[in-house]
This record gives sequence, C-alpha cells and structure tokens, in this order.
Amino acid sequence: MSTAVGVSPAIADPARDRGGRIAIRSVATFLAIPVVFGLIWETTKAAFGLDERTLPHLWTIANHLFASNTQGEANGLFLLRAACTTAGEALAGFGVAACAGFGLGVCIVYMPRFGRAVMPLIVGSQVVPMLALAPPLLVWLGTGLQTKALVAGYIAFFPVVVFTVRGLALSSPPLMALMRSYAATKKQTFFKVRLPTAVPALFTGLRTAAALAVVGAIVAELPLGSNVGVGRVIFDAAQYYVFDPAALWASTLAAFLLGVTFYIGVGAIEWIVRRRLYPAR
Amino acid sequence: MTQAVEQTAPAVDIPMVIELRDVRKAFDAGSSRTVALQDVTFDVGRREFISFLGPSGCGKSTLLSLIAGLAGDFDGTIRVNGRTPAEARLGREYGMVFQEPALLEWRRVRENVLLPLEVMGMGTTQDRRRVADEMLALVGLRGFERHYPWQLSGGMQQRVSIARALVFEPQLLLMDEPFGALDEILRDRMDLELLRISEASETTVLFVTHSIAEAVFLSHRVLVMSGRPGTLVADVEIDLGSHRTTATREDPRFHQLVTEVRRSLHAGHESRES
Repeated sequence: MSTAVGVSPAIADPARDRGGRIAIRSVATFLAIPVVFGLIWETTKAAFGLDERTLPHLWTIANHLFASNTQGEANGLFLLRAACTTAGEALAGFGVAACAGFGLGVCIVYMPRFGRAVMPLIVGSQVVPMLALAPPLLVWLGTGLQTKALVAGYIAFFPVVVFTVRGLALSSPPLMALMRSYAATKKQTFFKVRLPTAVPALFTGLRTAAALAVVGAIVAELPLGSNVGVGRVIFDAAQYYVFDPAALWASTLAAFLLGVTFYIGVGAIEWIVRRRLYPAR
Repeated sequence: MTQAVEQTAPAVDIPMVIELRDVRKAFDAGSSRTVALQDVTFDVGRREFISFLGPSGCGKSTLLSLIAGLAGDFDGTIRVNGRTPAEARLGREYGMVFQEPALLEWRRVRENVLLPLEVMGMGTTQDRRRVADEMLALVGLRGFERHYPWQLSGGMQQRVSIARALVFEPQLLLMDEPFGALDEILRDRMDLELLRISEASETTVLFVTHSIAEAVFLSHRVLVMSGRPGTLVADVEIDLGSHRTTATREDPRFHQLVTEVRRSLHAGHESRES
C-alpha cells in the first residue's frame, strides 16, 4: 500500500554490544578512583611530614584490620559483623522510608490542598536534630532494631517524597488529556502513564534514600546504645583516637563501604526495572 | 464581522455530528478575564472533513478541546452526536491526535495502539491484538508492531498515534495540528495518507492547522478564524471533489481556493487590527 518512511524494520542495534564495553570501562573507572585517592593520601602525608596520629599510613589501617582484638577476633571480622548489624537496621529503615515516602508523595500529588499544607512540615521534620528525638524514642520503643530503623527511615524518607512528587508530575499534558479523552479512571492513568513516567525520578530518590538510611542507622546507634553496630564502633574508637588512630579510620572505612554497597544495591534494582521497562535501550 | 460568515446550508438528510451555537469561552487571567472564543456557531455533518484555520493564539485548539469536553466551562451550546461534550467524552465517541505523538515510550508500537482498548476494557486480548494490527496496517506500519517509538521517525510516530485514535472505531476524529512538527514534504505525504485513512474508516474529521494549503487540500469546508477573541470569519466550501491526489495541488481551482481562503484570513486579521 504505502512504503513507510524512515527506519527499516530490520534495524541493527549497535547499542547492544557497545553496552558491554561501556560497563567494563565504568567498573575500571570505579576501581581507579580509590587508587588515586590512596596516592593523594600518602603523598599528602609525606609532603607535610604528618605523624601517625594526624594521618596514619594506609597500611597501618590495613594492618589494624588483620590484627586481633581483646576477644581474639580479627578487627576486620569484628567490623564486618558490626556492619551487618547496621546494614539490617539501615535496610529496615530504607523499607520504611521507601513505603512512607512513596505513599506520602502520591497523597501530595492527588490531594493538592493536603500537599501544600504538609510540605513545609516535611521540610521542617528534616531540621529537627536526631539528638532531640533520641531520648523519647528510646523511652517509647526501647533500644532494639525497630528504634534504629525508625530513625533511619525518618532521615531517609525526605528525598523519596520529593522525587515521587516530581516524578508523578512529569507526565506530558497531551498524554494526560488523552487518558481523559478515553474517560480513564484515576487508577488506570496512575498505573499506565504516571507511574512508569515517574520511574527514573523515583530511583534518584531511592538511591539518595539508601545512603541516608545508612547515615540514619549509624547516627541512631550513637545515643541509643545498642548491640555493636558500626556507629557504636566509631563512637568507641573516637574516644581512643589519640592512642589508636587506625581503629577509627578502619571503622570509618566500614561505614563508608556500607553506604556504597547500599547505593549500588539500589542501582542494581533500578537497572533491572529499567531493562524491563525499556528493553533494548 | 458576523455577516462575513457564509453559512452553508446543510443537506437535510445528513445527520449533524456536531452543532455549536453562540459558543463563548473566557479564561481567568489573574484579575482580568481573557475571552478566547466568541460567537462561534457552525454545524458539521457526518463524514465531513472540516479544517479550522487561523493565526496562532486564535483559539482553534481551545475550540477543539471544548468539543472534546476537555476544556471545562463555556457559554452557549455544543452538541456532539446530540450529547454534551462531557457526555460524548464519557461515551468515548471521538479519537484525538495532538501535535506531538504522545506515545508511551516504554511500550511497543502495538501496545501503544492497544492502550485505549485496555482502558475501555474492549474485547479479549486476542481481539485487541488483531484490531490493533489491522489499524497499524491501515496507517502503513505493517511490520513495525514490535518496534519501540524511539526507533521510528517523527512521521511514523504520528501514524501510530492516528492508529491509536482510530482503534476503538470512534465516528469522530479530532486532530490538533497533527503534522505541525513535520517538514513540508512529509506533511504532504501524511495529508494524502490521512485522506485515505479517513475515507477507509468513515470518520468525521475536525482538523486544526495553520497551513492554508493543507486546509484546502484536505477539507470539504475550511472554517477561517480570526484572533483575540477568536471567532469564525469565513466558512469556505472546498469543491475539489472527493477523490484528491497529488495532482489536485496543481489544479487551478485549488490555487483559486487557496487565494480565497488567504484573503478571508487576512480580511479577518485586518478588521481586528483596525
């Protein structure tokens, strides 16, 4: 009948095999950055003649990880167990943040009057210092996982709300008009247009929330006393920094790696979801 | 002003699909009210192809949105198949095409065409697929069912959105500058395709454009509008016959009509200026 204009059906997709090479380069860059950082660290130490207390050698920190503590356990293993405890708290907190943040974001979008009223309060909630909330929380909920998960969730829900609201508002006006012209229900418009459109923004919020959940869990461990998590270890090591600076730096490293792991974890989920939504892209 | 409107008397046996009487639409702009449309009165018969032509901002898109029941309150009367625009919208009596294709980029071409059928809960999954593929064949996209929108050119994407507008077999097609973003060569081709599609699907078409030649080439009647507040200044009957081809554009009558429409467009514009 008519010949179609433009791309032929048998379109080759060079993006497919280019994807593999890009991935390898990304990983290489990702690994190169710590190496450069280590070089700067050691160069600074050498150039300014800093002593071990001001800035220990990287290998002093590494040695600390392999040395045994008073219980006869390697410090590295001890830190790993602490990190797992904190990870559990942070994961629970992230779950709370994702659900509450998304739910609140949807309510704000669908109930504009409620949204305008609640948004300043949400921003205000982020200004309250955790130190002020810890004592009552401790009295209400005890020192267990639930308390720390709540604190982590409280700190992490904010970006989820902001990016849910932003993402749901991104749907193009003609598409929304189109759905109205079909007399589509709110539910249909939400699931067929608004939510899929919001996915990229949503994950930006979730990635930020993942890092914040770790911060929240660590901060919650400081005043709330606890089973030994990374926060607790940092707190203790800070007391003895003058005698054993490597211990503090090692526990700081553990907290850092925990944050990175969370971020990458959410990134992986995003990658899977996006590949299902936009295959071959 | 209103005297300039040439009312063509509709043949008695043609049922009216659309009737507008003294339609007026005003928007609140802060403290003042802007009148977008005023004294708009016309009828459209079944299977007529009508173009709205006018300068940017003359309210032709607003007029289409009003008929679609998407633009809220207005004064006057609008009847679509004898019903109010809101009722017609709820009754899913028209398909709509915008200047941008507005496709769901995470769906394949076929799934994009299926969207209205899914929303309206029409047919079984297999029926829907068959109907969608038939419609894609009608707009010349056989073989592209499993492509994603980003793999298609702008013209092809717009064909997908036309297929999507027609897939639930509405009797009325509302098109808001559908080919405005395409280059002239492609636009000419799409115009030919559109004539073929509207004949094959037996739909009434309301078409908004600001291209005089396009309006004349496609339409049975061109409704010329002037801006601020938008109103009809001429209703030009296009007697180029029902079968139009590329040769139609070289017909002397075509050029006469283009000139006639251009004059009424400018006349409307100048009377506004003075």
